[in-house]
Amino acid sequence: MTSSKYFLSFFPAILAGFALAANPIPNSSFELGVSGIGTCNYHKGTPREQWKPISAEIDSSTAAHGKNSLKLTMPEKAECEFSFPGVALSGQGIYTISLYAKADRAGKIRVQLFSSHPFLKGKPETWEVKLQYLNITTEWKRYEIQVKCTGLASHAMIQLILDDNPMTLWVDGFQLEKANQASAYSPAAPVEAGLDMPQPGYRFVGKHDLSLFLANNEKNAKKVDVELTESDPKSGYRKVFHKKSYDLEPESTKTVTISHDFQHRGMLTYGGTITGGKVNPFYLAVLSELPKKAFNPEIEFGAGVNDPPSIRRHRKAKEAVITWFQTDTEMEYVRLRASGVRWLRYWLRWLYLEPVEGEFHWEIYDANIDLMRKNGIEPLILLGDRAITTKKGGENANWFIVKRSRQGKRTQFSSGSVRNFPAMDDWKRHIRDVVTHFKGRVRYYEIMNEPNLIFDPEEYVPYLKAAYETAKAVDPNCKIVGICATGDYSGRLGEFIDSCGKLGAFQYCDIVSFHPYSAQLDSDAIPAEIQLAQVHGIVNHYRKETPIWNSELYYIHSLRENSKMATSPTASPRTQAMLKPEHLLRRMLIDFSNGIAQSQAPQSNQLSINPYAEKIEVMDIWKNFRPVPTPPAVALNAFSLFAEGAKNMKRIQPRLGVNGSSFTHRDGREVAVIWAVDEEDRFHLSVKPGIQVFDLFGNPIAANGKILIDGRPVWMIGKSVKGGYQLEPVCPYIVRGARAFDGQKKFVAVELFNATPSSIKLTVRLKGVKGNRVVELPAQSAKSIFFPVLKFQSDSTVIISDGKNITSFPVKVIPPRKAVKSGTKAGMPYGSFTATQEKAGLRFAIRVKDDARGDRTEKKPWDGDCIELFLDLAPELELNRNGLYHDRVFRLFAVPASRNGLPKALTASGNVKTNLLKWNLKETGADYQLDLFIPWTALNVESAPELLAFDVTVNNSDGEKRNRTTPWAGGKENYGNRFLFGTLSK
Amino acid sequence: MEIVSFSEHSLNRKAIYKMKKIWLLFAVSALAGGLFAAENHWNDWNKWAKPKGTTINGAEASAPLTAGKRVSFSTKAFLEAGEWYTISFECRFAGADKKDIFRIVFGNEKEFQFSEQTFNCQTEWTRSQVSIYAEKAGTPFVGLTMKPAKAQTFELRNPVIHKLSPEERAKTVFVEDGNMAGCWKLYGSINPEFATLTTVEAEDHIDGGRAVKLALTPNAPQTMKDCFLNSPAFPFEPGKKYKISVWFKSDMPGTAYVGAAWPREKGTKKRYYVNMNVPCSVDWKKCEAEFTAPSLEDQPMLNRRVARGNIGFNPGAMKTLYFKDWTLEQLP
Repeated sequence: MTSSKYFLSFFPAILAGFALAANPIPNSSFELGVSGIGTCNYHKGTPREQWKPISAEIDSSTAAHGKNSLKLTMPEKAECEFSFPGVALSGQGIYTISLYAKADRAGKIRVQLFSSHPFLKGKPETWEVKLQYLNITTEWKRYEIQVKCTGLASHAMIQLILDDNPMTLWVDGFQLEKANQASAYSPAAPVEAGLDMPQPGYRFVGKHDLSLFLANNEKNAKKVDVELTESDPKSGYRKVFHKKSYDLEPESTKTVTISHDFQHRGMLTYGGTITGGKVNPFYLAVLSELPKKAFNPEIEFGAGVNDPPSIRRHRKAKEAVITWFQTDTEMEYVRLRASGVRWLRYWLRWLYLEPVEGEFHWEIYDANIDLMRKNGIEPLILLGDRAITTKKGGENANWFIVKRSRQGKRTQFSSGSVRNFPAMDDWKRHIRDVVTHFKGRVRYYEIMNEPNLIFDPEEYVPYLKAAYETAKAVDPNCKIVGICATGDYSGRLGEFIDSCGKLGAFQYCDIVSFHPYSAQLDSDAIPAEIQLAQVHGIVNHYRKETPIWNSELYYIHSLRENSKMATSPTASPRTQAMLKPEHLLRRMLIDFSNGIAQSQAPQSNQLSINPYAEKIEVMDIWKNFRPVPTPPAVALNAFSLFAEGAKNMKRIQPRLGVNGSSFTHRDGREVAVIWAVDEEDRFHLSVKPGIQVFDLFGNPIAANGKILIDGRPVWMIGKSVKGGYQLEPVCPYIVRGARAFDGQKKFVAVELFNATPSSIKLTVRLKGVKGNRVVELPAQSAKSIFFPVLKFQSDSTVIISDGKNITSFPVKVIPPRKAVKSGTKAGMPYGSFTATQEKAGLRFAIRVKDDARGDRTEKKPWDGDCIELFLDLAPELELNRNGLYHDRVFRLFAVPASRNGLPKALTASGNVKTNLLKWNLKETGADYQLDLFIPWTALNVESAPELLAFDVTVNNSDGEKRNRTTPWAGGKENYGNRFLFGTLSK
Repeated sequence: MEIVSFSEHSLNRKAIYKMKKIWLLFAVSALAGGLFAAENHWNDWNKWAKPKGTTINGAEASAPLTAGKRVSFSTKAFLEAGEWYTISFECRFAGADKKDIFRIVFGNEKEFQFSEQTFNCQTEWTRSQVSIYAEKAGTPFVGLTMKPAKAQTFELRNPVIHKLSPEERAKTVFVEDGNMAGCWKLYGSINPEFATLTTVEAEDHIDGGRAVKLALTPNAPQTMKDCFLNSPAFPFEPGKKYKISVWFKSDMPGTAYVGAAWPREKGTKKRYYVNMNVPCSVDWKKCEAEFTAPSLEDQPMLNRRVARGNIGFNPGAMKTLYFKDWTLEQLP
């Protein structure tokens, strides 16, 4: 570009006065080097070929604006994507993207504005990709495209994509504006600044250099003040580490090397301010350097992940290998190990390994296995993937293995997938092929993922047996991980393990794996440690000392989060996959201290983030910026630092509401790590001298005062930690919740919890209600108090006094549901019911009018014609658990004989003593009536409870499956929300 | 809880002069009102000296007040030696404004001076009380007197003189029932333009009911150092151990104080008090402070065996103080 053209390009900007600020893209002319920009490229053919990363680099020998341009080199057919950080949009309308470009040959490029709508009314995220192709010539030329945005997305990123068009491309001077045509190019600010460091996206604690780039886009000299900060917005940490003035020549750039002592661990933002603006930030995780120590999975616990890094599910190739800007696959394994990863559960996709009979593509698997081993990561190969289920039109529908398989009916997934029974000869041959190939390099093989969602135990165990015998014949040293039952999708985890055990499965596996989705953390409805004890119990029943592994748990949420997601229309798989560092660390610690031998819970991509486009509502994998270890990765790094090589691990419960682990550090010191089970609880920790305290990332915490303990684990290390610390609740009592009950007398139940180790006497009042109540709460227990009211309010305040202090607790009152008087007939669209509370038990008479009998599925009574009965014997308690069931909630199912030949039956949840029930189900045509007496003893109580909530739901099937659900008081969510039940008044 | 000090205040010389003048007026009007009757006559308005034009309606007496003219209701109290009495009554001043005050005064000025008390006139029925100790038997005059700035009505009902039992004199409770703030009064030297004293709903208190609100007005100067109230006199014995308890809260975290003051020493114009600092927050907290009253040797004026309560705060960020259930209890 000539200088006169350069001036002309600025002319309209000068006229407009503020036009320089109109372009929101930072570093749009690459004068700040590669600060803030990203590229990724990936091979979308097949995974068999090794992928060579394509470079993106600054070229100072040619530019359309300023001194630099960006050079993208793609010599062969592939795909290369280039992105700027996300920028804010200003609503609906036409946007113009303009850029300068030239190429070494004429060719086509794609320019797009990529955004995604937030989740609306239960709909998944919707991508909004507005694109146009441009024909690029070999001379610098300015191009522009216009795109129409709906305004639903708040942010977008500009992307440039080379689709299968090999070329070397130079680009410069990007601009985005809300206009019908491009105005003259102007950078985002007269003076721009950016920070950057070369890959990887983490550094170990210590001194390192970082680069400050300064660009004066104006024609006059400038003096600017720069203040650089290191911060972690989530924890509130912020530190100014550089403050200086710089003189900048007209239209010049300057690069300054700054040595910084990186001491604060976490995923941190490095940014700051420059006179009149902000410094283009960069993101970096600061980790503790882990000791270089061999890992022996036979004797020590290791944390692991699922799936290799650098895999993107491409629309044209399901298993594309991706290379992000300035990184390669090996660097990603180095990053995983630096984050504390010791295991990788490698999903071996049989379909991709052997797409055609006898044609094997080992390359990608070999390369990954070698990189794992080289970097201290032990591979666990998962076998059977892509072979045991098929979706209609799925990628494996015409695969030779599936074609030779016997097809079964649909699986437990509701997505319409059917199950395949691979021919046993094919299965054995596959096992032989894989184990033979990896003999000496891979020792651990897991046999099928979550077979309990696909097969019955009788169907699975033969495959396990065949795999075990075949693998051991090839490599007697290999270890077979079997059963792999999951707790989600109503998987009946324990039942499946037990049934497999009865069929002799424990002879055919060295290790039992499972996926504890139904008890993710210790705050869950079934606390994780209880589930682990149950699994241990079952496994030990069949073969004592069998190691148990947690081989997958992508979603780790607290009870509160899970409850919120269960009731939120905006919950999505992406929300579910959001992993908090404290939750990953807690799960690792729970596994570690409850006898689980290995844990490979998260997915590898949950340990990295591409943070430059945070506000774009799309999974990180679709952002092109280089990966940075996430906060969970930093927490895992701390786990490895403290816990690798540990001995004497055990669970501790220093007081009710606080859980933890204790163990002996590899250097012989004592370690205890503790956390509040409920993230909203708060405790004060004080420690004796000599005990060091660290946060969940391994940052030291001053131990000379009271340390706040919440749901985030805190580490204590010293010579005598046991007995060297004290905990006390910040608030000795809390209000767990309030619930309104309708009926002849309206009242509100307020549940209180005494968090102290001694009994306390409290005076309680509900604001707006006359009079108070005095209640004595035994140590660490909960009790509900009832306040008669004239009308219900959704928001209320509970006032509590311990005699010295008065504390007000605002509460959302759980709304009242229907109420019916005991012995009174209640009408329903399907008929009627009468519920009667008697001294000895509960009596139900339920009449159902039905016009046609339908089918039902075995073990799923709710799928056909069925009366579902829900009972809650303590509806006034556990009001903090969003309606999740407790052990005094019961479900009963009464079903008439089904059209597909299943007999009438009465079944119930496991906590009902069904042998004590007295029932009679009479069918008259399609109509049926149930007379049921439930003795209190069948519900594990001696007499009638103070309050009783219940619901009667009638499910109807006129054909193959349920077509209608009609509850009396609640809704379809009754199965997970007891707060929907109505009440029975005496 | 920190005990600030046993310290002293100078009593305003002008105030003493004013009180003497009031008593003179009261004595003249009482004599003009006719003879006082014997004991238990307090519920009989015919046995009271009343302002001119007073009308009686059952238990209520109502007197018209003329601007600038002092009037009094008065009667005699029959006191036994060594006993404490509480005098209580309800009154209402239709047309009063916030500057208007009325007083309770005694015929034996020297002996009962500390029990003499001024109260803010309230436009709603307000119950007030004061305690006295009779060192010897006697029949002093008791008067309720008022000099309004503008014409209004002085209504009085349920006047009671009650001899305290040993239990009653060991415990004093000021309950914020209705407009009980009338029981408390801004300290004499505080300009009523700078602070307001009201009762408010205590919806966020564990007992509900009402609380006293002491708030600075926007007119209060930045330099204002102290804002506090006095209570009427209550039984108080030298050398005894006491506990004050009261619920506090404030608009902003700060420090309040609570304590007791007793009669000045003869001829010194000084009065003595004990104050205890109380940290205040926006949540109700109960303050309980124990102290021992000085001995008669140390404080001879405690032979009057009455004291008054103090409660207040040092203005800063904190501009409003709420309190409730002020209680003084003698400990064994």
